[in-house]
Amino acid sequence: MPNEEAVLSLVSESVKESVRRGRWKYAKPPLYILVAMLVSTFVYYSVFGIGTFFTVMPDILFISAVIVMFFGAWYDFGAESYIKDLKDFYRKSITEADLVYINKQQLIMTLIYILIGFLYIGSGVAIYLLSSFIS
Amino acid sequence: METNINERQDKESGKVIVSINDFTLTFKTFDGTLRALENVNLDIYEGDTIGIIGESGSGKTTLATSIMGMVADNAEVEGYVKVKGETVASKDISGRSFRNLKRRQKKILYEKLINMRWKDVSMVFQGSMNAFNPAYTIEKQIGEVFKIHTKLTDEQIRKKSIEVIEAAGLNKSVLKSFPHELSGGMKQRAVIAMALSLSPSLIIADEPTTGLDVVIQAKIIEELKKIQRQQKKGMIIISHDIGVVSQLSKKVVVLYAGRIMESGPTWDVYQRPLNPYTLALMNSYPSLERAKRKMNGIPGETPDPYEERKGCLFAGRCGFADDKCFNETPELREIQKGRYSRCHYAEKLIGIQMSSDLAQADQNIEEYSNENETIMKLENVKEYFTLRTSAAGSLFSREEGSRYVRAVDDLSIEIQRGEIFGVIGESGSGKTTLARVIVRLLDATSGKILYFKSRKDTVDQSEDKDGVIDITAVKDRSREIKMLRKYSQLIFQDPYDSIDPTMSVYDVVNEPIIAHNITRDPLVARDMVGNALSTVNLRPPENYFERFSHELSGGERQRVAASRALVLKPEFIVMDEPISMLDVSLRAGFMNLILEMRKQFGITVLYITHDLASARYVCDRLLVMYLGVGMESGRSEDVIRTPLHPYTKALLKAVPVPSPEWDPQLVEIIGEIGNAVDVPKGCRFFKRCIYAQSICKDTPPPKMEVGKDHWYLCHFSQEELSRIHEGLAKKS
Amino acid sequence: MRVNPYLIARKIIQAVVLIILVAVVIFVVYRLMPGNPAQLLLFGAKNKAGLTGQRLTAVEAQLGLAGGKWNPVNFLIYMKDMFTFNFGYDYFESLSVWDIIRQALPYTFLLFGTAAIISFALGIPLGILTSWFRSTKKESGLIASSTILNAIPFFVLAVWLVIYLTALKPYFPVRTVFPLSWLVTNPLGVAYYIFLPVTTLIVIEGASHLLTTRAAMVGTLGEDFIMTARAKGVREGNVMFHHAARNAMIPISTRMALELALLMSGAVVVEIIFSYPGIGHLLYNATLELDYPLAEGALFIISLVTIVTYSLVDFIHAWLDPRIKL
Repeated sequence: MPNEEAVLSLVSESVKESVRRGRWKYAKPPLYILVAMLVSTFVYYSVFGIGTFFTVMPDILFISAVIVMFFGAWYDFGAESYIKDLKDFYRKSITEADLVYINKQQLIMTLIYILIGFLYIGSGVAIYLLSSFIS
Repeated sequence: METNINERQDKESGKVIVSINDFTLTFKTFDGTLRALENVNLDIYEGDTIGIIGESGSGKTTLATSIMGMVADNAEVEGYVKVKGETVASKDISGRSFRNLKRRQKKILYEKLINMRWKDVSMVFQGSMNAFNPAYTIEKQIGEVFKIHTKLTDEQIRKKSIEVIEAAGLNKSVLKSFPHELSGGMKQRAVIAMALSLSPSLIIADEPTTGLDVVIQAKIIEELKKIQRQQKKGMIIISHDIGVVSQLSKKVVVLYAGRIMESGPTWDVYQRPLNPYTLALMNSYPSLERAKRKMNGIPGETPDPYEERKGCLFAGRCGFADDKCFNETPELREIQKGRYSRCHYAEKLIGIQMSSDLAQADQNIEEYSNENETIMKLENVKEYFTLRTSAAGSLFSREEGSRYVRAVDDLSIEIQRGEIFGVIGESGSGKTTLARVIVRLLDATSGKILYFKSRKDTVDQSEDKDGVIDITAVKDRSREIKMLRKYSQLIFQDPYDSIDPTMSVYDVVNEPIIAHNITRDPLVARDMVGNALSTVNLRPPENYFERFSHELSGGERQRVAASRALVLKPEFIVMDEPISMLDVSLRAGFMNLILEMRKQFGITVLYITHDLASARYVCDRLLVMYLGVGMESGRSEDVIRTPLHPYTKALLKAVPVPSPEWDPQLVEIIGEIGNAVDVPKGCRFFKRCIYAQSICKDTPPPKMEVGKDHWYLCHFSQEELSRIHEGLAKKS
Repeated sequence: MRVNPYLIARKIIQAVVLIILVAVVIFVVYRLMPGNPAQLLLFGAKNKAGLTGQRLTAVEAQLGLAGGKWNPVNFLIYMKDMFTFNFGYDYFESLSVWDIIRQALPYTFLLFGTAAIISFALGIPLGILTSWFRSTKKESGLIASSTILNAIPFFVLAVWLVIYLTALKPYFPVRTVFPLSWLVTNPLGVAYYIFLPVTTLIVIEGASHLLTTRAAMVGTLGEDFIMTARAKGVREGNVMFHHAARNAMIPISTRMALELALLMSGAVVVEIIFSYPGIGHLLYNATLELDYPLAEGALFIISLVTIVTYSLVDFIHAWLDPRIKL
C-alpha cells in the first residue's frame, strides 16, 4: 500500500486547489463590476464632462462598497444546494462537523468580499484625491 | 351471543396479559359517526406472538393504541380492554367519558395508565422515522423511559441505555446523535431498542417494515425474530404484508373494516382460510415461490366507514354472498378447534387449500408471445447529474470525489412491442431517473434512445411515416416531441398527487385530447373519455365525469390516472410504482388491468417497481438495476426462478415469503445501499457482494449470457459462484 | 448547545454590515429629496430666488451639506458621525441630537420592553393552554376573542382608550410624561402613566402571540413523536411542555422576530397618540418639521436597536433548534 500520508496529502492538495478556484470564482464578479463601473463611467463622463466624474464616482463607489459587503455577509455561496446534494445523492446524514466546515468557508468568503469592499472604497478615495490634483 | 375467549391450544399455558372483550370504538366527527372497531374479542397470553392483518381502514392502529389506553377524546367505547387485569379502556373511562370523571378518579386512572405504558406494553409505531422528538438526542429519549418508570440514578440510566442500544445491534455512538442524523434503518432499530428498554411483557409493532428497503426489512425481521426467540416476549405484529406477519407470529387475526373476520394459527389460516375475505386476500398476493397463477384481487372498495353497517361488511365484494349476508351480521364462531371465522357459510370453505405446489404450472395466465419487433432501444444511455460539491470551483469540496451522480450508467436494453418490461431496483438504483429519461422529462447525458414508430396509428391518420425517432436527439417543442407525447405516456406512483385536485375526472381525462388537438367535437371527446374510463373499469363512466379526486378512493384515483394515460391510445406507457400506494386487495385488480390493456390494445409497458412479486406477475421480462447499472436481465420467470447475479439472489431471498422455510439470515448481502457518486472502479456491486474477489474491485464485469435472453454482469460463471459459495460456507 | 464560532462570527458581521447599509440608505434617502434641504428650511419651497450667503452656508454646514449634497467628503463624515453617535445639532433648538435621543430612548425601551415581555408572558402560555383545551367551548371562545383583538389596528385601540379612559372619563393622564427618576422613586406612578400605552400594545400583540403559539402547538401535537411520548408514559403536562412546546418554540421564535418589528412600529404609533416622549414620537415630529439631523439620528437609532434585537432572537432560535440551519 502506498504511503497513506503521501496519498492523503495529494488528495487534500487537489481539494485545496478546487476550493481556491471556488473562492476565486466567487471573487471575480464584484471585481469585474468594479472595473466595469470605473471604465464605463470614465468613458461616459469624458465625453459629457469629466468634472462630474470626480464628484459623483466616489459616492457611488462608497455605496457600492457597502452593497458588496452586504452581499458577502448574507449570501450563502451555494451552501444550500450543497446540503441538498449531500442529502439526495450522497445519502449521508449531515453532522455538526459539516456545518462548521460550511460556516467556515462562508466566513472566509465574507471576509474576502469585505476586502473587496475596501478596494471599492480605496478607488473612491483615489478618485477624490485625483480630483483635487486635477482641478 | 358471542363466544368469548379464544382458547389456546399450545402446551404453555400462561397468564393473560391483554384481554380485549367485545370492544367497540366509534369516533364522532363532523362528517358523521365512524365505527373504527366493532366487537373485537382477543386474548393475548404471555409469550404469544400474534399477527394482525388488515388493510387501510381496518382499524388495526386504533386497536393497537387502545391497548395502550390511548383513546382519542372524541371516541366512544363499548366493551373493555384489560392489561394485566387492569382496565385501560372501557365505556366509563375512555374517550369522551374520561372528561366526565371526577378529578380523583381521573388521577387514579391516569396513574394506572402511565404505570402500565411501556412497562407492561410498549409500541413500535408505524413510520418510526418520526417516532423520535427531533429536538432531543436519542439518549435523552431512551433515558426518559427510565426516568419515568424507574428510580435509577442518572449513571445507571446511562449504562442501561447503552445496553439496550447495543442489544439492538447499534453502536453506542448512536445515543449522542439527533434523530435526523441517523438513517431510516438505524432509526427503526433505535425505536425497537427503546421499546425493549423496560423489558415489557408485550410489544406492539405497527407496520415495522414499511418504507424501508427490502434488504433492511429482512434485517429488521431478523431482529424481531431474535427478540422473540431469546427474550420470549409477547408480540403483536400489525401489517398489511402477509409475508411479514407470517414470519413473526404464530397466530393471526384478520381484521376488516373494524371487525375480526378470522383468526387461528398462522399457517393454518394461510393455507386453509375459512373466510371469503381471507381467501380473497391470500389470492391477492402475487407469490414469488409458487407457480404463477392468475390472481383475482378483490373487486369493489372498502365500505364507507360512515355508512350504516348492516349484515356482513364484506358482502358487497364477496363471491359467495347472498341475501342473508347482506341482512344479517354474521357472528364470530368457532368453526374448528382454535379456528374462528365470521361468516355464515364458513363451513363451506373447509377443505379448500391454497395451492403450494411449484410443479403445478397453472396456465391461467397467457404467456406473451414475442413478436420480435422492437419498439424501443436504449443504447449506452447515461444520465449523470453534476454535483456541486466537487464541481470545479465549489467552495465546499472536502474529499476527493467524482463529480457526477451516475444515476443511469451505460444502460443498453431492447424492449419489444407489446411487451411488459419490468425494471426492478431499490430506492437509489436509478429506475425513476430512467423512466424520466425515456419519456424525455430529462435529457440523457449521452447515449441514444431509439423509438420505432409503427405505421399503425389509430388516432391521427396524418402521421403515417414509418421510421425511427431518436428520442435523445429530438429538440424541445418540436413536432416530434408533440408526437412522442401522443405515443408515450407516464403513470406515477402517487395517486393522490398526480391528479390536479381542482379538475373533475372528465377534465383530467380530457386534457390530453385538448393538448394534442385530437378533436374539437365535444361529442367525440366525450366518447373517448367514456371509453377510457370504461377500459379501466370505472363503470358507468358517466357517474365519474363530474366527480373530483378527493371524492374517490386511492384505487379509483390510480385508475383515473391510468385512463388519462390511455385515452389517446398510446403505444407505450411508463409506470413508476403504480401500485405501491394501493391497498393489497386493489393491487391485483390494477395488475390485471395492465395485462388486459396489453391484450386489448397491444400496449408496451415499462413497469418500474421495487416489488419483485408484482413484477413477476405482470412483467414478461425483467431488468434488475443497482446504482444505475443493469445487473441482470431476462424473462421474468427465468430471473425469479433462477437468479444469476448475486444481487438478484440476495433480493429474492430478502422478500419475506409466507412460507415456514424462509429465513432472513439467508440473505447474503453486505451493508446498506451505497451512493451513485463514489462508485468503485470495477463492479458496482463490489462492496456488498459476498462473492467478491480482487478482480471485482478494479475491472468492470462483462456480460455473461446464460440460456435464452438471460444475461448478468459478473466475472464469474454460475459454477464458479457456487464454488465460491461452498468455500465461504466451509469457512464459517 | 452548539458552539460554532464561524457561524457566530458570520452572524455578527451580517448584523454590522446591515447597520452600515441602513446608515447608507438613510443618507441616500434624505439626499435624494429634490432641492437643497438648507434652502427649504430657511426659506420654504416658495422662495427660491438666488439664495446664497453666509447664513445658507452656515445652515448647510450644520446639516452636513457643505460643498454640495453628494460631496463624498460629506459621506465619509456622515458615516463617521453616525457611528460615533454624533448626529449634530437639532436644527430648531440647537441641542445635541444625541442628547435628545438619549433622553427619549429609555422611555421607548420602557414601553417597548414592558409590552414585549408582558405580551409574550401572557400570550405564549395562554396559547399553550388553548391548544390543550381542544374542542371545547373555552377554546373556541379564546380563539374568537384573540382573532378579533389581533385584527384591531394599534391606532384604533389607542384612540379608543384615549377617548374613553382619558378624555371622557379622566382615569388616566392625557400627557404621559414623567421624569425617569420615578422609576426608582415612584414606580406606581410610572405604572399609572404608561398603563394605557402598554395595554394597547399587549392586548393586540398578546392576542397575536396566543394565536401563533396555539397554531404551532397544534401542528406539533399532531406529529408522531407526541404519540410515542404518550405511549411511553410521559405525563400529559410533560408532553405539552417538554416535548410539544419545545418543538413548537422553533416556529414561534421565528415569528418572534417578525412580531418584534410589528411591536416597534406599534410602539411608534402609540407614542404619537399618547404623546409619550419616546423615540418614535421624536422621529415623527422631526420628520414633520423637516429637522434633518434629528430625523436621521432617530431613524438610525431605531434601526440599530431593531437589528440588534433581531440578531439576539436569531441566536436564540439557532440555540433552540438542533436541526440543520445555515
